[in-house]
Amino acid sequence: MTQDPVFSGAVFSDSAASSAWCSGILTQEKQLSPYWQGLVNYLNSLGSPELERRWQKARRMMHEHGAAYNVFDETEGTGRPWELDPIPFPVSPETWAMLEQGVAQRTRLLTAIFDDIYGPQTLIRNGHLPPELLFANPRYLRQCHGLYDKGTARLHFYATNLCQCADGAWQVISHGAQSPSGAGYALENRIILSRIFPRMFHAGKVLRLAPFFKHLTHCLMAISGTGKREPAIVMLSSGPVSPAYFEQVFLSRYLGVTLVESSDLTVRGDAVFLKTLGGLHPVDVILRRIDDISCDPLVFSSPSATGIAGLVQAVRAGGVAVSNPLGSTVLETPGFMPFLPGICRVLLEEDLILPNISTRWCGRPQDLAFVLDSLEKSMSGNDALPLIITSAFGTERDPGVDIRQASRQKKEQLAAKLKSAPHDYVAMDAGSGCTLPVWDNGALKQRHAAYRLFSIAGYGIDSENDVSVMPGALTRVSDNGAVFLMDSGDAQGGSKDTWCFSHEPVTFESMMHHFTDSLEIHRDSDLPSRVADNMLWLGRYVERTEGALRVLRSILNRLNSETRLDIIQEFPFLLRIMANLEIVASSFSGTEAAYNIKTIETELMAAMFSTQRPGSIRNLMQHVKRVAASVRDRLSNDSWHVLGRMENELARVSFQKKNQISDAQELVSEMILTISAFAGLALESMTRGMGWRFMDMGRRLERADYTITLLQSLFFFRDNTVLSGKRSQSHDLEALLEVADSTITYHTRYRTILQKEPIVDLLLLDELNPRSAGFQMARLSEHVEALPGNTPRPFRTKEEKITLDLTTQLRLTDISHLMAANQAGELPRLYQLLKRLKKGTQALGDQITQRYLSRIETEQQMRISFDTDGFVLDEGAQEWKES
Amino acid sequence: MERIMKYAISHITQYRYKQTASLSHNELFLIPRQTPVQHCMDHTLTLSPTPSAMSQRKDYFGNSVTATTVQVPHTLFEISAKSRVDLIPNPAPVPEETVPWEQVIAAVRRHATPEDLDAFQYVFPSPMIPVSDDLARWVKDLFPPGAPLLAAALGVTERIFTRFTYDPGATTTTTPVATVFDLKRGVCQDFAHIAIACLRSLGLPARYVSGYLHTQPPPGKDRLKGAEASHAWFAVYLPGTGWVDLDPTNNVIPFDQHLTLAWGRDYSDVTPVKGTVLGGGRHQLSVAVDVIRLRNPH
Repeated sequence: MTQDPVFSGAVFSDSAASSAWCSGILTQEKQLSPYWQGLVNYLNSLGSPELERRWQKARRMMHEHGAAYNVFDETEGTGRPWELDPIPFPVSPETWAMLEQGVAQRTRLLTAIFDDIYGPQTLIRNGHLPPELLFANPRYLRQCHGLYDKGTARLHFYATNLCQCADGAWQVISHGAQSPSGAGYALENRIILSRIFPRMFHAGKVLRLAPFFKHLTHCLMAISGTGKREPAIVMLSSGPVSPAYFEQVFLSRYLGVTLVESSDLTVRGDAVFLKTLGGLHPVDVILRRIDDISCDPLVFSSPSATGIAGLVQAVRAGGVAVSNPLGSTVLETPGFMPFLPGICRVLLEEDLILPNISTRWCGRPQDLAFVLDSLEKSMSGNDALPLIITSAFGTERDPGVDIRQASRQKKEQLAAKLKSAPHDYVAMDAGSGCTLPVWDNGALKQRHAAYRLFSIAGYGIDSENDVSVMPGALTRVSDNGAVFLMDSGDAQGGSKDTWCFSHEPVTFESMMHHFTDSLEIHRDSDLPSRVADNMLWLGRYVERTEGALRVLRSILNRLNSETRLDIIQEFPFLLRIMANLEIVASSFSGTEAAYNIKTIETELMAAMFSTQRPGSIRNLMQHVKRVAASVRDRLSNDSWHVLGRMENELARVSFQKKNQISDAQELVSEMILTISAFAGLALESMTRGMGWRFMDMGRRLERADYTITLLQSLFFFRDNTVLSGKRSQSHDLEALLEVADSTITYHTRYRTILQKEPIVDLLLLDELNPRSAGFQMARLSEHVEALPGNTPRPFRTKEEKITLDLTTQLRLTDISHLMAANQAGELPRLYQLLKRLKKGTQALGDQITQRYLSRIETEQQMRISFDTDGFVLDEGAQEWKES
Repeated sequence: MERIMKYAISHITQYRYKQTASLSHNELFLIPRQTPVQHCMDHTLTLSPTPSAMSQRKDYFGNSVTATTVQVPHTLFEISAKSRVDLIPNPAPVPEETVPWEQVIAAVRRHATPEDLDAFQYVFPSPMIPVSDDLARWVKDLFPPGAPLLAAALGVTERIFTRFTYDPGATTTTTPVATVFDLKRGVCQDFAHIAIACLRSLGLPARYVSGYLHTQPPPGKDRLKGAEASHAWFAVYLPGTGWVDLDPTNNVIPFDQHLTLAWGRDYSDVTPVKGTVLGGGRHQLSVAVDVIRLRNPH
């Protein structure tokens, strides 16, 4: 009898327990191990509905944390969420002991291989490693040879990818050695699961992950070689474009290190510095999350020409420690695999504990013959062996080919390539792997799995153990087991938490504890210039979006009312604001078209959803998202969550056709609340450091501009035609108060009488009204004085002069004098003041960028001109050639 | 009796920037390396402005490489390399008497000696030099079974010399080998790359040599100062004998006029001057090379 599992109580039905389990998981007596049994019992006691409920809760938590693989996808504009399965993978103490030993041995082995091939090369001299695997290997970076000859401190952070065969045996598939990702995701998975199954977790003697990361931190401190109590450690990321950016943000926070990008760092002399608002700060250790060849454009001539020029020389001179050591990528070479057992005996004088997946390197004649024979057989209709043929060097231009699935033509091409450059290829035996149960939409499914274990080779500050293995793993699941062999598997989203059990009671240990009791207290945090720039723009875009939404709401409210359009007298005024804010075309306001409801609808919908218009709500949101993503590590999780909600809101309505206006009205109201919440959370949860200042400055600059534009729209046309002051009727004034969010303030002061003088006073001069231009100028003055380098001294900086000038002008203005009309009924003084304020605000924005943020601009300039492996080659390229 | 040729080399590189440059990192391959026939007696490397850091080391291929950083604002950057070199020319083996080319392939594949093992790395594609069937086909007729390697390699050299046009405007330092091959135009660096690509496509080791050429002025005229430029050629490997240079630009086996700076798999391994600069805007580059033969003090 089939029953919908969600409504049957048990998660694992009895029948599933006997037949559906992969034999590799079962004990020799075909029983579940006590660890699996414990898990099954616990999940069954919860029951399917409860499991589903908790799983949904977990998904929400992940979403709130912003857990995603590729946070910032250029094409989609959104990241694919990181998928976590609620059923953990339990590992018995015995299995864990074997895995730990095996991975630790591999870690020592790979470190020894690194030392040899970038040093004396005895392995190739003595025939333990075929020289082709270095000489033809694009991952072997000759520039790194001898880089660590002087025994400069370094650290290796490895990943070992394993699979479990159907018979339960463990095999190593591949290694991650230059900057393996996944440890942060494993940590995130653990945090989520321990929250949704707290009882199970705490009762179960599950080994904690924190001590591993503590050891990592100690090792990073140790390799600085400076003996400083707090060496400056940075994590080098390629930024939000990196698929694993979420993890980098997460790990850098967890480890308490600064997350930087290449453009934040510079080499001076033989040392590395972080470019900040306050100047250059020395960096002792770089934990890099970027590829070897992206590290130094001078040495590696990478096509992207990104990186830190001079970094390799700084490493060589001992001015900075980089981990993983430069050149590590070679250790990921798939072609090394068949030689590891022999090398292990030579270098470590031990037998390899964990076997490799069967790998044939076609540079050996007998292996080539076997692979060609298998290809031949599969083409002549025989059952193909489950072989996956892939680049021996793991280069991306040669993705793996599963010969069971390849077309005849593909196989023929492959055979030709194998014959012409056999050393370029390996063939792996995909076999059939062990599967794990996965919770999928309320039912259990069996999925293939691969396991990524993490290890560290490096001595901690107290010469603690030299190798440690993270007691846990990133368990990835997929429909197709072969994908784990075809690529690094990073593109596969499904994952499980891995619980390594201990016989001993497990003590609780937190990373935070370690930091709070040993570190000095920091208050004044300096900021990388790039981050400050992004903060400034985040503030600006958020405020700009909010302003646009307010005007849109006022218009939509009126369109939805019963009144006919031509009777709504303030309608032209509102359209003028929209035109002046460049939300609708300037030609649109004041024309007959503006009274056609269909035309207006089309125009407003475009103003919200069009991707073509620079100022549309959708595009503004994209800007907010992009800038927020680039300072993800500086924003609180809550504010990030709010941002995601706003995006959902926008996505929800954008494609609906019916009831556009009323839907839009509702949407805009919700979005105003959401974006105010975002701004509030982002600013409130941030320390009053430089990041906060720059974000608030962006906000104030934008709001000053907005308020000035509103006032200009009331009194003047965009083309500077001075408008008669008489024409501003009370309905316009009411609408102005509405879009400026100052209605309540006005009415509590002046009751219902609407006059332009008190309104202008409220919106322009009143420093108590947080919406007034005067308020923005006063805040900007405070910020500017607190910027680095603006400590009290005899001369005022240019930006101080601008804010002083603007604030003083506003404070000295007499409202009746300002509002005195000339004979034509115009308001020339107001006109002049608004014009001057507008220009001043722009000048202030430019000046702040020029003074504090220009360092990033120069760097970009260099990148553009550095387009080849020679000197900055533009017009000089022709002349400067060997003849 | 050995005949010692003495040379003085001056290689001056200047960058003039439109705007102020504030930071410059450089890697220089400007110190002549020691070879079986060449001894660098003396060298000086002077940078202006004075670099804040300057260090020298041997690279993977045994070349001297200098790393420098200039971090004072400047609009003119000058690198002046001067050296004195003794050359004891050694006649090349008789081409027709060298080993068959198949034996060279077999020897480096077997790599029984450290020299063969070292030569083996020059068989494979390198960052700027791919291998291809097209290139192999283009020279295949020069390699009949049992053909002596040096004779066949001279054939390649001559083929490039006769079928390619020397044209400094046709290519840049980054023009791919395939494009040069289609254009049949280029400069010494391109010709060396083409020759190496052909040989490697057949499975033979070949390496890139960067250096200078001493030229004789036309009869009755003075040598033009600074008229020379840096030069490039290639070398083939003869097991048991060593490397033999070949110059496809001039269709000669270098003897007493070629001075070696450095060698590697291709231009990218031994680019004489490369660097990055912060700021500076557009720049103008000028290079002046002088190779002067000194009279022997008899």
